[in-house]
Amino acid sequence: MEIEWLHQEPQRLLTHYQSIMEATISSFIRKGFFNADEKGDLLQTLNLQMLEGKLEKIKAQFNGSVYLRTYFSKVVYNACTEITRQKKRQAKTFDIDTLYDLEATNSNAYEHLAIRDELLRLEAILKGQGKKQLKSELCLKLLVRIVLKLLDIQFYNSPKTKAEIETIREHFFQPYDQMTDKVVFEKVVPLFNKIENKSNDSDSLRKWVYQLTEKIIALLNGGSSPSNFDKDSLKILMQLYFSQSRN
Amino acid sequence: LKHHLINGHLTDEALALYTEALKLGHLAQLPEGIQEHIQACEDCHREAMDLYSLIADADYSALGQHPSFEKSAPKKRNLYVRLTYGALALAASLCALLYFNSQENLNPSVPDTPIQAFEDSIKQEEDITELPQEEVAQEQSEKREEMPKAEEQEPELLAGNFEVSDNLEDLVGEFTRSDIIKINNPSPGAEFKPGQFISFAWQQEKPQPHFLIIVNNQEEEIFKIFLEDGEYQYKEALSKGLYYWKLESEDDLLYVGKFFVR
Repeated sequence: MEIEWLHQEPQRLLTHYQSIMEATISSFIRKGFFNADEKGDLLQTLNLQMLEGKLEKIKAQFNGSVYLRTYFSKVVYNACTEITRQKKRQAKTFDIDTLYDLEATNSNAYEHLAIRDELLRLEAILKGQGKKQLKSELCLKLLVRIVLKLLDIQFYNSPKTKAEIETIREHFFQPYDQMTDKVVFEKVVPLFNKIENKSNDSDSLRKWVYQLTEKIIALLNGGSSPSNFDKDSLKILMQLYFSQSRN
Repeated sequence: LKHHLINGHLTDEALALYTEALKLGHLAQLPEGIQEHIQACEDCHREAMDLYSLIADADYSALGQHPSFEKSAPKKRNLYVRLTYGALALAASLCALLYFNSQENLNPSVPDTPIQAFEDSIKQEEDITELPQEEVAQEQSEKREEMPKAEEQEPELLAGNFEVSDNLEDLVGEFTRSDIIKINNPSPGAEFKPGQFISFAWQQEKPQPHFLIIVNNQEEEIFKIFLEDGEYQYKEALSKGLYYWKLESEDDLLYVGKFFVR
């Protein structure tokens, strides 16, 4: 239907996709590239750009391997990025303190949504781990001292890992904030060794997790992102992420 | 991969494809090289993260069949594995051909239609199960009602039913190496017709009660039963698709198997 509109009724498609354009502009406002009162003008600019050539370009270049609305979102994202370059706009640095008092009454709707954006970007990194996603998430939960539940280890639970699972249940199913990283990973490395048929020491696993967090920080902070995460603030973001995804 | 690159970075459509794979859980179906490029290229990775944050909460359920992921569900395999599968498939086809040729000579009544084949399968089940007449009749009528429903499904919907579950696929057969449980039925990847009874059987040195759980390829629980014995016959009609079954104790996942209904 949407592809038919692209070829036969592009204006109808544009009307249909107004919400996509608005959502994309709002995400740029949340990053601080634009003020909230510029939203109407930006929407008008984007609509003009679409009618004056971008829709034709989409028609010519879109090969149909994805949903049109995702591709359209990318085109709008690119157009917004281009406007920020033309207007030489800078993102405002994401206020990490907002993470500390998310529940505070003085944090506004934009700040809540900005955190939501960061959580989704973190989710994209974790999901992109593919087959390492389960291991990454379990290790990161341990790093930020999330109290584990059976659900967190269900895919590792088997007769051959009974002893290792028991160790995890004994130590990580209750608060373990006082434990050092070294001790935490000493207790979990036998599980991964058993499953992967390896004999790594806990320091290797700990270093792997540290490297993963450094990679996550680099991805979250880099490019045009206004984020400025360090290890401590990433821990807070991850605690928030894991506590929300649990619900 | 070069079809998906422009100036050394992923094209917008390739980025969109990766992002949709994240959103819809089809990472394993991405064309070779895209995921590797994302992991190696921070610029593309960040663009994908940004795009994901834009589309993650959008409702795509009404958009129907995905143009790339749901047509087929090939997992990325290397050439050796593909050749091996090809050779096995060829051998299986030849065996099947020889078998059916020999059977045709013995028994000329080969079913002409899917309905006839289905009724034949019910007949076979009657012979095996020896259920009371009323129960058999009721089950037959239930299954006849089920059958057209399955046949009426849109092909694209059916294709989606055979998508593998990334979480469960890697665990299939994982624990059969344990000496504690020996799985007798069904063998991993066994195929059943819609409505056909499915026998589950396993053995343990020290028999213990377990939960038998059947989930569909979306990991939605279809059936769960607590069993004292190591066998069970599932008699409900399942629609066409890929299913996983699990054996669980009170707090252990003991085994994951899979079977197809088609």
